[in-house]
Amino acid sequence: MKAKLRRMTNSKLFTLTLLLIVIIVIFEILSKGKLLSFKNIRSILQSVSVVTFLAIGCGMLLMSGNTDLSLGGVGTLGPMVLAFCIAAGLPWYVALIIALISCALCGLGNALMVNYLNFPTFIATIAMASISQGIAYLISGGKNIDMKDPTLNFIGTKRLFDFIPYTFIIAMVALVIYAIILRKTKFGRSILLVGGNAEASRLAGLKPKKISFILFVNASCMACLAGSLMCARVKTATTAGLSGSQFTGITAAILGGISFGGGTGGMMGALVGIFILNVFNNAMQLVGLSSYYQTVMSGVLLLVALIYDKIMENNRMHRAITAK
Amino acid sequence: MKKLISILLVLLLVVSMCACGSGSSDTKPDETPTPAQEDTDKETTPAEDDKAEDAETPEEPAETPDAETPDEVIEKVGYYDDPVDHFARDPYTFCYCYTGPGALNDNMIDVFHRLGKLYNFELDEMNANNSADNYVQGVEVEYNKGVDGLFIDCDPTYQARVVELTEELELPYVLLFNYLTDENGVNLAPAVVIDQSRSGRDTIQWYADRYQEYWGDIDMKDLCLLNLNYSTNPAFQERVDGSREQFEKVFPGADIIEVDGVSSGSLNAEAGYDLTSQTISAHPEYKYWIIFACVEYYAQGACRYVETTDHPENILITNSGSNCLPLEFEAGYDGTSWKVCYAVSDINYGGPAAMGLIAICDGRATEETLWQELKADGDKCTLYVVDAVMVTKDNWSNFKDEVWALYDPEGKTAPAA
Amino acid sequence: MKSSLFKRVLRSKLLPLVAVTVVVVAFFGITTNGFLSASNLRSIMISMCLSGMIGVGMSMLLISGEIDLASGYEACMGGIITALLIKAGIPWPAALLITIAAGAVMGGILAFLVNKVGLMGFISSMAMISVYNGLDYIVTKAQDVTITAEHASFYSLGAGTVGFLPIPFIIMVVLMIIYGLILYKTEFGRTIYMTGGNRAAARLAGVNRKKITSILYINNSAICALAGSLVAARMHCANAAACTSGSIDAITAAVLGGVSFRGGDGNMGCLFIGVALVTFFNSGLTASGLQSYWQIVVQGLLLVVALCIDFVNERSRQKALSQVAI
Repeated sequence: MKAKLRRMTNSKLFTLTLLLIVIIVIFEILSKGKLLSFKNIRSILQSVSVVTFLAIGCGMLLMSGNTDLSLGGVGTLGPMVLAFCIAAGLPWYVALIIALISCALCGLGNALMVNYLNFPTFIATIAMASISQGIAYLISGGKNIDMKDPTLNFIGTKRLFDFIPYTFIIAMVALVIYAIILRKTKFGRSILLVGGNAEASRLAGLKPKKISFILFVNASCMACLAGSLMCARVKTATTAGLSGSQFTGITAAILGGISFGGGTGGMMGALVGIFILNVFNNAMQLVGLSSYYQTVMSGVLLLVALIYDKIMENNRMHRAITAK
Repeated sequence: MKKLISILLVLLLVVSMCACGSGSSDTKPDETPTPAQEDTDKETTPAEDDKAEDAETPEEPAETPDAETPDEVIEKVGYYDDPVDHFARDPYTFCYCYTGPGALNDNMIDVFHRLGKLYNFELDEMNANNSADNYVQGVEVEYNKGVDGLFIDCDPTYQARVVELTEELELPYVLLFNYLTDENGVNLAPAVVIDQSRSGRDTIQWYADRYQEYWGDIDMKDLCLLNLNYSTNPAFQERVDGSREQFEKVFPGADIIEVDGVSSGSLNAEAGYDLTSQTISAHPEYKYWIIFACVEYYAQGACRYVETTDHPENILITNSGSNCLPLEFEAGYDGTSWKVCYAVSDINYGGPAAMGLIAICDGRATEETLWQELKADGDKCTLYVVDAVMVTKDNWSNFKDEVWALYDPEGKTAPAA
Repeated sequence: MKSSLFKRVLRSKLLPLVAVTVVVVAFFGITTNGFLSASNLRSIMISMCLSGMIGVGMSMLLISGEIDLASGYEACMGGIITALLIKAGIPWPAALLITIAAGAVMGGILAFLVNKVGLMGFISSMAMISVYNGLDYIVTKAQDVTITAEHASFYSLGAGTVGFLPIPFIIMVVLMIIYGLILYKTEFGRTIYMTGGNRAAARLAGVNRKKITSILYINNSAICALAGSLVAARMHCANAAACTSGSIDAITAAVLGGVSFRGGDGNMGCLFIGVALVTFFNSGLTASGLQSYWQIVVQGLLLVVALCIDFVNERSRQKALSQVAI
């Protein structure tokens, strides 16, 4: 029992959760109780949804040893296609499927370039980012397209029991599904194996190229969903869309413990990482910190969280080595 | 364990330092009591000259107000000389919500801080860092904080939702810089704006009135307009459209080239430099150029490029926005090419917005009745269109003074020279 | 069987990209009036300077297996520091030296995070982006920091020419030559390749990876700060929005040219070709008047096409090599 408790407290997830609790406590005091007010928790939950999808997509790719920098562009194209189809009169689920297909094509393009043409991932995904962003502008003519569908707007802006945003529920469902896939299925385990050593896994009978394809397409679809949720919240598909947000997803995933080729974290770690970043941003605004200081502090927080995590990890390894 | 505690302490230390740094804004209520007495005297005297003064103020918008019928006297509400004791109430807290960092926004924050000292309100700020999601999130957080009203300076593409959200939260608000209309062109929210299209037209007209002084009589075939656009921003697009329309009218026979900065993705001086240099170099057939930049950073870059050409005096530059050119003149720029910009004095925007929002929070007006004497027929809310000044080498240092004199006649809050 | 020099050049890695660049220049030279004019070429050379200079330090880092995504923001900070120092009355040569020292400090922070604390370069430089960006706005209050006209000699550092060539371009080329020689000729350069190419082997060979990458981080940030100062000289002012796209542009150009993102491969020639190709292409697109949204798509397609040609060339090279081996 004691050993199990010790194992739990040693885990990365515990470390991150502790940090989150500390941040909450500090800012609850500094904001005179506003941080944990009903309305504010609602706002925090709403802000988490978009990043969760990006983190899932980026995280899975990171585990297999790749990055995808096109998610900003793809996340702009998806909602643009969605809004365009809805404005053309299609029902929302058909429009959503078309949007997902268009983003999946982008993901396919990425996978093709990286796997068959041996492009460096960086360039391939940056090229795709340009192409998808450009196509998004061309579809909309440089303007935004209003999202007129009542169902999507309802999901984007309304809350269950006036407390839990529907977007949050959707994001959590997706997170749990992917966490299960990673931990429990053969496919999930093979991702980590491929990330560790692609050549060895190929010799062991896994198909790294097929896995890579699936993951790139998955990441693009996640970006499409992320962008669509964001645009549903704003009730319009904006030309800027998710541009620039590709780094937010990677940050959240890395903070949660996922790193190139594996890492010790998982989806739950990424979720705690997302909460750390979002609660902190929310708290800074509540406390009234000037916005440029907020920018600096969010960078400092990320560093502090990473350093703290690293120290804990070193402790863990040290203890593991010197144990017995 | 020790390491954990030390890290937490560092975090706490840094955060509290920063919180203290911004905490100075919380101490404003302590500063106001002393000027309060003098202010109350100030407020009552102009009240008698209310209507007459309003007719002379430079803030009088370009559109003709509805004529006052003899039977109903529409009370003018939401001006610097409203007959109200602003210090008889608790200070309001307003939040200035803006899309992304920029010189204009920083200037507006300074303006609102100054106005806050004069009219008893504190200012919060919300910077959305160019993300629509952050903007909506930020509005919610400000509501959670308990602000009394919002100045909404929002990207026109998602402004509709922001206004809708603010109305759902029942927060008083005034729009800044960008207005909101429905499909039929009916103005839906009180907004303090410039006529973007006019900013393009007036600047071109200014050069049209004067180009012969610089160049003599020229053949229109030698002249070209270079429009530096950023098409995904509707406000910038309107400016460029205005510039193009006016140029076609006053320089018939001359060519027009438009370049769009969206392909470079940046709104900074280097992008302006590159766009200008690449276009002018590619068209050596034109001897004279007029460059209109939708945003002042592009004008700055263009100016730097033009200085490296053989005949900078043959290229005239203008733009909408007045944060950069005054600084250029201050730094010693001689005005060879970039002679004028369409200025919007920050106080010209901030003053009416602040007074309007105070009026709504006081209950003296609603979003729909604010400035109703200026409301155009068919509109739901008033579009308060602000006049602008053409800023040149001659007036860059004091073009804001006249308007500030209305709000702060004794110069109590003027920054130290 | 020793293949002739001609055949070796034909199969070199750089040749396809050089060919693409020549095609691009020829295409725009023919279709666009004035593309090959002296003033346009000068403008293109100036445009190359920011990503080229940042690319010099960045390539060294990439070859050693590290990365610094905050380079553009370090350049921005460098420009601001120079402008503030000059405004305070310090003569510009001294201001430049202090800026380079400040850049070294910025690089030192990253070196500390990566080597002492053990974080990944990717994520720590991403965190530093926020820090530097925020500091830039705080220090300048979002306004321009102008460099007044009495410092006209400093202006010429950014916009002046020596003969036909702009001064920043000369500085960039000189840096490329120096660092190219370091990579190619010195033992230090060889250890950089080893560090990036095979970490385990380098460690076994006694290479002190941490010392090398620390030096390279400091070097990169110092060069970026200088690059930012040159931009400030050209623009006569510094502000917080300058140079921010520098790191992505530099990495794209370097990787396009053949510097390996994972480490161990590439040289300054790759960087120069990459920067030249992208700059000529973008400049030609603007001059051609193509609608800007299509420009964005085409910019992405350029990368794809250039790398496809590289891929085909690589395949034929491998084939030729395997035939020689037999």
